[in-house]
Amino acid sequence: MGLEEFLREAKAIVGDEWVLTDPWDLVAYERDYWPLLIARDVRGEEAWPRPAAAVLPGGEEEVLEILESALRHSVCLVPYAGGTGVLGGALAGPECVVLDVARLDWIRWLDEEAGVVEAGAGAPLRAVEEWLNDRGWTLRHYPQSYPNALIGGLIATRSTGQYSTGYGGIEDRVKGLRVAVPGLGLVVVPPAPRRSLLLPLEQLFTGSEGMLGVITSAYIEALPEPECSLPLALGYESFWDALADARALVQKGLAPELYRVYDELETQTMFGGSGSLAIAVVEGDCMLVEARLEIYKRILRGKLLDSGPAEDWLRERFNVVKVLRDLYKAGMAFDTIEVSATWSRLKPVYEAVKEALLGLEGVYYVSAHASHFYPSGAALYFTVAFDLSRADSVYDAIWDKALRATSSAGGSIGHHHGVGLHRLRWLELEYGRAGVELMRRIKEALDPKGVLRGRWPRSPG
Amino acid sequence: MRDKRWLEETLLTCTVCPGICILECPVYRSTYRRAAAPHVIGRMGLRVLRSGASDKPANIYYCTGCGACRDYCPVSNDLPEAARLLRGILSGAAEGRFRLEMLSEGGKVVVIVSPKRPGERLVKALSARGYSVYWADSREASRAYWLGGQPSLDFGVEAELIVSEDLELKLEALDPIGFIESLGLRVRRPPAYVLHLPCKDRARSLYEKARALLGEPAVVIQACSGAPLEWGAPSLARILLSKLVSESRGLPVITGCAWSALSLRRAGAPAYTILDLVEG
Repeated sequence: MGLEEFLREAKAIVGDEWVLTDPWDLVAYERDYWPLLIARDVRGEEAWPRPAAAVLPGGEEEVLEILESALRHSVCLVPYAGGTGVLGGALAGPECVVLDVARLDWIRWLDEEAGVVEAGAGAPLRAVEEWLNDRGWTLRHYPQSYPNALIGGLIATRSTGQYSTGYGGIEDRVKGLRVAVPGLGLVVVPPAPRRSLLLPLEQLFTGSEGMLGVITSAYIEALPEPECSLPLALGYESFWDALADARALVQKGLAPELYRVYDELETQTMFGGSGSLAIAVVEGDCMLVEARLEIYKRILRGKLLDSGPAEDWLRERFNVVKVLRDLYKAGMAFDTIEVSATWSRLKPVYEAVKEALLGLEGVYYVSAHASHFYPSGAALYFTVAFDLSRADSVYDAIWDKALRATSSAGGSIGHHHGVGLHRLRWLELEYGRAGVELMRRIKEALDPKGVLRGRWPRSPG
Repeated sequence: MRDKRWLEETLLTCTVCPGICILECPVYRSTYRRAAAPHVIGRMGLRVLRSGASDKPANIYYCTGCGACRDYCPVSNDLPEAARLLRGILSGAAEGRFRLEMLSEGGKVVVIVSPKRPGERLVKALSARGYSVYWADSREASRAYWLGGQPSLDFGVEAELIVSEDLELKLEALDPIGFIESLGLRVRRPPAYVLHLPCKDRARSLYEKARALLGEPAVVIQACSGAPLEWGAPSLARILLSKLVSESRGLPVITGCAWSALSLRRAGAPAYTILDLVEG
């Protein structure tokens, strides 16, 4: 690896100040938001070995030149866009150099009539949304990482958000992409409402987690801001009663745009009540919002409650700090595991995962909610709290048990957090050996020298 | 109470946070240094405290102390103060005093706190109103404060009025516009100027008043000039300053941060504080 030669060239390409080699600048890349590493940080330990360096290109041309240089000098690059992932996908380690896209942060209209905006990979989601809101538009994409996520990272992870039941995931908003591919150059997929032209290339990179190319910018479809927005709360005796209503609504095309159903334990933990709580936001044209409310009153089995819990949740939805601080102070660590299942497999998956995790020593708490609904099924989002002092030893067991239980019960082992470094080892549960081999071949074909995130499969270390 | 337990809890809060305030940090916004983000500073601070490492994390010197992160934080976590205290713990709290210099003799005493010497027109206008004018040179005191110290606020004179244009110090004093208004001073209205909004929390109300006093600016820039970083992270200070210089497009910059005025002047840009515009 010709790291020194590469860094010399990188400085000539992007300028000295945008090539970081000082260890105290590189500590920032020691960690994304992977809870295993948060636990290490809290204990005062190094989270993950630092990368060899970080390079911050200022434009598309510079990204292409950096890729060429890395290829020439056999240097491994790890694209980094915000570091809000929760599974270690942005971690490089000393054998690789971080390619931080933060400076690719432009936002501009591509087509104001169509509501298509071009946003650089480094554009913060919040800045894009606020820019659109000033013009009467919105992306309606609100992942938990909304305050600090960058567009490139969201696309690379195939993220989804709190309003996904109404508006889908990021893959539904991306209408075109610009991607720098090692040894190939710039691939431009122009924006189009839909196309049927062999492989949908923009989707090849949506969710590719920086393994195949570096997304430099995206053409994203925005929507006019909704005229009316109505928060609702519904009470149920059980989680399954609440999910039966959710299935009815989503299959009839009547589901609220934001829809969250909490199991009994999470209802109690978060809202202090008994039974199962659903909160929702119905939005759009005011007449339609009212009409949908009337239909809900007629067909839903749940009891319409005061909207307070929904409003409280909306106000506090990005504030996880206080809860987490108190948790860690109490000597506990946490993680979240998101899986999905078709409606008929949802209950078996839920029960299997809970049983598997609660049987583990050191696990104190397992609750779940469902917050992304589809006509064919839903995602289950498990929250697990465990002993901080034993985090390293119990952590793999938690994931192994949860994902194997999900797969055995007929569920899918990942909904929207991606694979990162951590979930890679369980990929065969989902796709089988042949499926994983197909992915490896795609990776080898596009990046034979392993310039981006190294060669497949990358050891989780 | 700002004891070790408070410090540890403040740093822990940032450590477990995903970094939701990163876009509020003026140093990150201008330099894209993730290490300057409050949650990364918090992480490194906690690591040093918990592991007892002797290494000084350089990134605790990347915080200007502006408070923008604290204002945005849902739990108002005071990372800037934690970083300041950490600098004191790791570097040994610096001592620093104001150096007092009498600029004109008169009756009642007015003290002008600033890192730069007050202009002659201001001194003359105050003398004409019968004041003894003192300059409390705050250069050492500011530096000491930023490095975790608590410099003595004893000026050694009985002051009728104290005005401060040193935003690095959290001083109970009149702001320049309040001072100008209370004494009925006249100011020169610049023709086309850049209004520089340096620190989010400490200067907001000041600048609403600045527009009324000076007329509508041609350009408003909210950015950090990086002045305090010159004490600990000069390379970042240079990036911040050069960005501010380039955004000001050669127009005169009016700023309420005297440190910014000094930095801009050193970089060859015309820059004035509001007190510099006093005419009579």
